[in-house]
Amino acid sequence: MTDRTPILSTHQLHMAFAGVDVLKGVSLTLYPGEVHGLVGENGAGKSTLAKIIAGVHRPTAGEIKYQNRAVHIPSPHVATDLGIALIHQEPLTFPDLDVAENIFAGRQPQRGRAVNWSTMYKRAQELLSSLGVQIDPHAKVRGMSIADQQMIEMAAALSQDVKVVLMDEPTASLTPSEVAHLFKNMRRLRDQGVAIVFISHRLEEVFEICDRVSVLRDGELIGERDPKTTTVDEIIRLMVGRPLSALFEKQAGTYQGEPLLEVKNLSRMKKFSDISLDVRAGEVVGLAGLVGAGRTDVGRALFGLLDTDSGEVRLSGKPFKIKSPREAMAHGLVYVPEDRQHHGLLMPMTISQNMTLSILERLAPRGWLREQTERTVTQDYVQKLRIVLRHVGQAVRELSGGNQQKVVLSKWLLTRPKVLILDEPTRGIDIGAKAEVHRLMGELTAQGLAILMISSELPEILAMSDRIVVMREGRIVARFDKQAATQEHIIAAATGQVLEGVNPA
Amino acid sequence: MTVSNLRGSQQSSTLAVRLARIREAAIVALLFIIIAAVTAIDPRFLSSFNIRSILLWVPLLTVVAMGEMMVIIIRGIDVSVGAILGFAGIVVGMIFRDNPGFNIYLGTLLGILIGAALGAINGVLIAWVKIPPVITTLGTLSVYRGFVFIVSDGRQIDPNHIPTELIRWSQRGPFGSQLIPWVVVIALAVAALAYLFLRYTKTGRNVYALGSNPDAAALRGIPVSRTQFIVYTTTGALAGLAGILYASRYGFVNPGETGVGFELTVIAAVVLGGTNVFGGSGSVIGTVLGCLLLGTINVALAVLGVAATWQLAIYGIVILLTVIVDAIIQRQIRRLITGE
Amino acid sequence: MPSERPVETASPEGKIDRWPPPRRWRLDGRLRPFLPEVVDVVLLFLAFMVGASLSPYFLDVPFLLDSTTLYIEAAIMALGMTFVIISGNIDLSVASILALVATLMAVLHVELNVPMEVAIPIALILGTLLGALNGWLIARLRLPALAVTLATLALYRGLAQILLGDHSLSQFPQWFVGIDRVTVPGTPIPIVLIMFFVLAIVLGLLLHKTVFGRWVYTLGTSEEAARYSGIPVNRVKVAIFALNGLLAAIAGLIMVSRLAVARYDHARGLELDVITAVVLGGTSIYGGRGTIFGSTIAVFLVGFLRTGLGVANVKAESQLAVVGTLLIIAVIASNVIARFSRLRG
Repeated sequence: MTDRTPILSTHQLHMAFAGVDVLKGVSLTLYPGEVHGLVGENGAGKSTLAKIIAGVHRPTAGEIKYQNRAVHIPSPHVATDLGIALIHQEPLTFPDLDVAENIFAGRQPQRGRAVNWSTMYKRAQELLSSLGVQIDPHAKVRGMSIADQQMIEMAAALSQDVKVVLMDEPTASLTPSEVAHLFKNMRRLRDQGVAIVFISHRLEEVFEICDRVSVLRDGELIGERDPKTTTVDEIIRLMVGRPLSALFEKQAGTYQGEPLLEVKNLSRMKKFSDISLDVRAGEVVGLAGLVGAGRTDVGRALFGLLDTDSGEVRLSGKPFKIKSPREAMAHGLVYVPEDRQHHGLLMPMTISQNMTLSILERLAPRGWLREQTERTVTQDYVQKLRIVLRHVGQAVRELSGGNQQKVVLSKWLLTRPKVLILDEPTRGIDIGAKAEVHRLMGELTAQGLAILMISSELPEILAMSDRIVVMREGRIVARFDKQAATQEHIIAAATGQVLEGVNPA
Repeated sequence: MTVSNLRGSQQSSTLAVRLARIREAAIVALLFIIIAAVTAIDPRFLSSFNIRSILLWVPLLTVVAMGEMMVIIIRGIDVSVGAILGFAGIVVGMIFRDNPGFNIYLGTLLGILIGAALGAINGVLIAWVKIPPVITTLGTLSVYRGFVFIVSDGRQIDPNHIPTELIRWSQRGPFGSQLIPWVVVIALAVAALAYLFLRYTKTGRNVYALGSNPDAAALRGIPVSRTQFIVYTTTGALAGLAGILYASRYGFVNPGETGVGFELTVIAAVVLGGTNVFGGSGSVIGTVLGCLLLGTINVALAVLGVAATWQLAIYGIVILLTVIVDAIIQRQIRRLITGE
Repeated sequence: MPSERPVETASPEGKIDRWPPPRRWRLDGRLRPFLPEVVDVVLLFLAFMVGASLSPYFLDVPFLLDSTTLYIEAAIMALGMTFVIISGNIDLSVASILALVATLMAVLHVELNVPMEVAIPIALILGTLLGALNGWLIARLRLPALAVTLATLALYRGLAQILLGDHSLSQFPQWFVGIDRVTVPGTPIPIVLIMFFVLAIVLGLLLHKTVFGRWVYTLGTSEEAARYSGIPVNRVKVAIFALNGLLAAIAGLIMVSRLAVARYDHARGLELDVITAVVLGGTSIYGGRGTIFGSTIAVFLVGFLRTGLGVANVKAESQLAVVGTLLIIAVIASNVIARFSRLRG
């Protein structure tokens, strides 16, 4: 029986961003010499947990114990010194420097006071070889694939005396043989006594490599299982299991309307390819998939923020080449961005300034703005959407997430759109506001709008969509009707598994 | 997430390396073309006089360009280098004037220290008070220029005040050579030191890391503020040295002229030499070549009879075209590689 | 070359940033956001008092009014620069546009005998185009404003230098020259001062009361968010720089009239005064904040300072040092004020 003293444990870890709880009382224990899987849907808190342990964020409450002492990890540097390494989902590298330097940044091997390049290249080569990758340590990192950059981060972690390695979706961009290599290395590390946290959506991989699996859901640690004694189904149930009745359920709509948005074979090199879908008046089409599947890029492309290489877009039957958001708006297509804080709103500006931002020209036909008009228009929507605020002259950053989202929605609804692309419309907002947003969507479709909803929350997708389209790695891999879809089917399609009874797209 | 088949990301990144080499090769090619063209028009171009002109003009530029290159690599800018040059030149010049027989090596050291102090002021304001570099150095440019006048009372330092030994630095070189005066050797030494610093010291490598990805640098524990401070202080020191070299080369120091507008020339040389205006990359060799090219263009224009009045516009065009072409090429490559 | 904005730290899924939690809105919220402008007015008043106590000239109203004509060009350019800096950009080339426009107009009239009635509009159009070129390079080619306007600072003045060399041109019609001597009949108020105020009012309305002005602020607050909101970001940028060019052209005409001569080195280094005034006036160097009113007050502050120094026989170069110091202090003060108001809600 191996020594079971934990190497690292978190106690009631709590994390909130801008007033929204992302982690609630998470107590996780890591033992040396094991691979610990961490699974959960998008937004469950897995990345946040890893980042807290790695010193990127500081928890709002809770404690971390490392080698049985309570520790403070205020920065990644401290984490590195402790022997904790994080392999990021989006690798943090120096594009202009070569691979060896990326591995040893800030800690270059020295001969006296001088940097010892030959040793650096040799050690880099050794590390890379031990990982089984063919990367030239002399090559510049700019342009390298995510997979290679992840390997470089791994090599950087290995170059220090690591005891805990946290890996955030490491296999997302790897080929099967690269994954096999990675697992071989992980097993080697594990046998050397390193504790590895393996965050992944690919459940079959989790089952293959992990000694234990913890499931996060809505920021809480729901349960821990041994892969040898549980099933994929059970894990999935733990991941998604929540009463669906708590959410607003959209009535099967009167969507006999015309297709307001038709997309045919839309492609953009390296982002997405061959995307075809249509959304009819009065209908909600849910676009599901994992983070990085390319859904947001499709949304941005439709809104004119991203060029496309080929494909056709029709609005109300007429083809258009949309080159800018302004054009899209003019044709009645709007996109509500996923990043509320950086793209959807201007935080230091007031509520009414934010709300009227996209319709200023209509409000002031001769260019002349009148605060009174702005305020009236704003008040109107504050009432309609029941936005909670002190006064419309308040800075929008003082509002809660839910109310902020309502402001964003109001802003776009004011443009009188016909097609609405919503990207994660209820992310980071409380249950009450979520329900209101859903109710609003129902009203809009009843009025004949067409909605394309990009969402990573399965209950939302299932409750709100009339039809569901699943994307994976830039392609559409499955389509479902409301009745035929289940959460398991969607996740399976999104992660590339094959379940019985599912027809691929 | 990638969709298309990656045929080997190695290829694309070595493409970037090859492009950097191409850049330096292009400068050398341009150099040859210009020399060839001008010589064809006027064979007197390759006279030893002209070669010496170029060789004398370039060291001043190179010394300061080493510093400015580092500043631009870390995504900053320093427009006060000309003023620092002038200030150091005037102060040391005055010391020479008022203390005949003053040791020129001591004087040089003093110039370097004065420059370092002025650069350090920039460094503190930028690294710790966190004022944007353009504003800081715009402000200090004016302050230093103003102080040049106050300190010198508007009077220039005449040739007879400057020690002949110092002037000899620009006339004779090692082994009494007339072709490679000491100032050239000094500049080469500075360039060599810069190369060693940037390639073989931790701080030097941190400069590149900081410019390449400031966020990652901070996360990796690289001391951001300290590195910035070091870069600006060093640049000031180099500008101070250049002030002394100016006195040596021209034989006088004039508060209204010395170093005025010099920063533009320096930035043009650095940008021409392949240093990326967005930061993160730049090489000593490239910058030296950039200085050489700019120097050659200068002398070539003089030989061709183009008035000095064209100089300012040419610097402007050089910076503009280089930045435009670089940006376009970079964007194309990035689109091909990452699809962004 | 720099990204002028403070870097925002990496963020978790959802890209939620670390905003300070909502604070209670304290004090008289009305004047709070205008703290810098209030400070400026106070400073102006103080400067006036100090000046008056140092020299009797300061209490001489006609003298004061007359002295404003010395920096009226900087004042006009500061109006345009306010737009540029609020939008999150910078324009180092304004003084060079002034010089090029001045020399070109002079060459047209004096050497090519183009009548002033034609030369003046051409000059104004040219200034606008020169500014628009800056804007186009920055917006369309997505080049950093610093690099572009540094290059055009050299290029534009360089072109002026090519045109005129070291010569001056001064054969202008009587009615054109000496506009700074012209006052509103019966008063000592210079007509150029009136012109400035008219421009200030018009541009103030443009910035604070029109859609375009709102777009400028939005651009400076977050260019990304502005783009996502359907604002024609590129067009706004080009327009801002073109406006700046136009104002520089107007300033150029006034300068030629005032000095009765056109030279390539007009207004050399004047961009320092302009930027200092704008920053001193409460415009944040990071963008998104600033007023025409603040810039106006600050420009007179700097102007009075220069006048005072001149009266005290401080040489031009030393004045330069003072203005430079003022710029740095202004930015530090602005940082401090911003941090102060952010902390206290």
